[in-house]
Amino acid sequence: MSVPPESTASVLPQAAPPEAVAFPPKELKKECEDILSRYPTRMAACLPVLLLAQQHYGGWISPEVEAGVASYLEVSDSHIRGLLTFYAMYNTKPAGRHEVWVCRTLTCWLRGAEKLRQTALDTAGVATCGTESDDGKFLIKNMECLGLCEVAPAVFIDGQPHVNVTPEKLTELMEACD
Amino acid sequence: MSNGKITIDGQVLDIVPGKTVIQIANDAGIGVQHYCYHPGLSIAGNCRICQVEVEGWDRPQISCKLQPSDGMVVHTQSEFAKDAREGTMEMLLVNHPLDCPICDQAGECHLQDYSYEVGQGAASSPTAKTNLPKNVPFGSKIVYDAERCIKCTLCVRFCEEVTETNELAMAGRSDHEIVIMTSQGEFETPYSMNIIDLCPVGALTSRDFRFKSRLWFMDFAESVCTGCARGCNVMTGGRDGSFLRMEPRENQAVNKWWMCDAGRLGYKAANVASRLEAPLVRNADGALVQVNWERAISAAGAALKGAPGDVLIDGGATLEEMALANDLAAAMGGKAKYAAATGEGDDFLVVAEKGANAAGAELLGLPRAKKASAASVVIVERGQHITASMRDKSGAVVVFAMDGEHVPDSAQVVFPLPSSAERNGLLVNCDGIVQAISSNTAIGPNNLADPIELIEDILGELDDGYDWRGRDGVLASIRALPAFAKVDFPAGYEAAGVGAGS
Ligand code: SF4
Ligand code: SF4
Ligand code: FES
Ligand code: FES
Repeated sequence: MSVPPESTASVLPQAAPPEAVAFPPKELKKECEDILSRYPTRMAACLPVLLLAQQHYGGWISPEVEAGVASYLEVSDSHIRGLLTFYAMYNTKPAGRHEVWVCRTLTCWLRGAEKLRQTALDTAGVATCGTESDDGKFLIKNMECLGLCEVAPAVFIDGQPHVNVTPEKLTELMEACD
Repeated sequence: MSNGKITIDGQVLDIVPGKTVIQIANDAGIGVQHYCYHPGLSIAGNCRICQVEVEGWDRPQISCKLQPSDGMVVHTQSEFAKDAREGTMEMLLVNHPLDCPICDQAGECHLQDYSYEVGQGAASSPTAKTNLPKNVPFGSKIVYDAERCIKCTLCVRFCEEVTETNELAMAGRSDHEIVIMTSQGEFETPYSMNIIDLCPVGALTSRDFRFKSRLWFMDFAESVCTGCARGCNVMTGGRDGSFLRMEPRENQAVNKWWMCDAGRLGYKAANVASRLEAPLVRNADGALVQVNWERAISAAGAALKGAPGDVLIDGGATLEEMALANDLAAAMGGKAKYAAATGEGDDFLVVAEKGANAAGAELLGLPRAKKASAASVVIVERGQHITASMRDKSGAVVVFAMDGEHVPDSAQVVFPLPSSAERNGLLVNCDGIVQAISSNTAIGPNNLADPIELIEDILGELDDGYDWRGRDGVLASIRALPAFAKVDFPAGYEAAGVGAGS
């Protein structure tokens, strides 16, 4: 039996590793230190520091910010990537100026969430959830239960809850965004 | 002081501090199914296949993480325990592609094995299976299939805890969770391929071994890597003459469960197209022509009588071969010396000394050849120790070589050398541990003579009174040397005068 040689030269993605931003920037220094003081280890502070970083850097965590936070908290980039992809509240792609979360879990779904999502997408002018609209204004996200089932369907816009939402009300709310 | 007792499947066992229930059970020979548990890594407890019943507890417990307590009674085979595992299997298979017919893991897949053991676990989910990335390169040597992956995190933990290079991460969650490579390009660690062995399913496959052979058509033998003086314990796998793969074998004193990628891929030297398959003798026209073994042996005797001198032997040769090289040199009034390369080492397994038996040569008292010098006989294995210039400048008339490319022009008689995967014998590693290589008959050309027999036959040509000793006799004379008085020999070789293998 002969063994054919195999070339592996072309299978690898070739890209330079991201250059870490210097983290924390001046403006966040104090807040980061406050957060760290509340936890027993630096690793334990990952989630709140990432949220802070996301707010500061335009609503998303780029690979460069990821690397900066990782080295600040003395954990691996891989650990941060795991967290960013596990939790739906973090964005790893550019986010619009306004984030619209539409709940898709059972109660909201039974109460018409499907229509709300379509309305949100149409109003923003994007085809799918998770992608920033061309004008950079909106990011629509499908979310699991937002904890407001008794007043379903629920929507969050920029962190503010809205309940018993109808398509008309959602359009109004989104049109009020600048 | 006793730490108390635990009863597992009716056996009363001692509790060992620091050991969880699965470890105590394993030590007692009670196998418990597991995917995400590995004795060399932290305990993750995420796959749930190791669930057992504990009397008095109303939920099944994962034995890999379960701390034993005095008087605890555990059942691994009760209906309750089996039910729990069957449910787990059903969940694990819900999104599994079941592409065993084209999966390299088939035959050594825990998912397959446990399916047989716990029963079918018919899927009750009417939803279609998820689709996830397939054929994803993790570096150039490994291919990842996220659909086959059961998310046990063994591979991620290996890169985190053993190599501390963190190339992998678990990304996403629930049915869209996958393993991703967070760095681009190659793995930083030179030990990446261990994750292929760790992976309990066919999610990580070796680009080198993919689609080469079904396991059940291969033969395996326990041996030792000769890539450096660490001597990682391995399992060689071959089929129809080809050496197809090498995998690490656990030895806590040497390589734990691991081996380096370069060592693993070093097997290819046995498959080169220029492998020598029969003895050759130079004819009147100056060409090397194939002859039978007897002709070659007598030609070697004649050639050496005409040009007696030193013997230069490969630093990867076995103790037995080196001892006989010594005798052969003595019969010619010369001396035996060995050559071995040095290179880079690291702080894990790879050592700078590349001669797999350099320590053995030192124990036998062979001097190390640092540069090219004259020798009548050269025994060259892979060519990295006895370099081209050493071979060419030796002027050797009798040459033992694996690869025809390694035969110098001066050779009058050439004997084909079986590779380290095709021979039996002993090597002494960098820490003085004596280990056995053993022959895998599915590897290499058919019917190659054992170099031990050949050297003895040549000795017989040179000395009419030579007394053939065989491997056991050679080993006995090695053992009788003062340098070996305190050396431990491996299983099968312990008793004086007894040698395992041929
Ligand atoms: S690739 Fe294999 S080892 Fe890694 S998480 Fe998946 S199943 Fe486990
Ligand atoms: S460390 Fe040395 S002996 Fe171990 S696999 Fe690598 S080359 Fe082979
Ligand atoms: S299901 Fe939408 S808020 Fe709970
Ligand atoms: S082996 Fe125990 S949970 Fe995976």
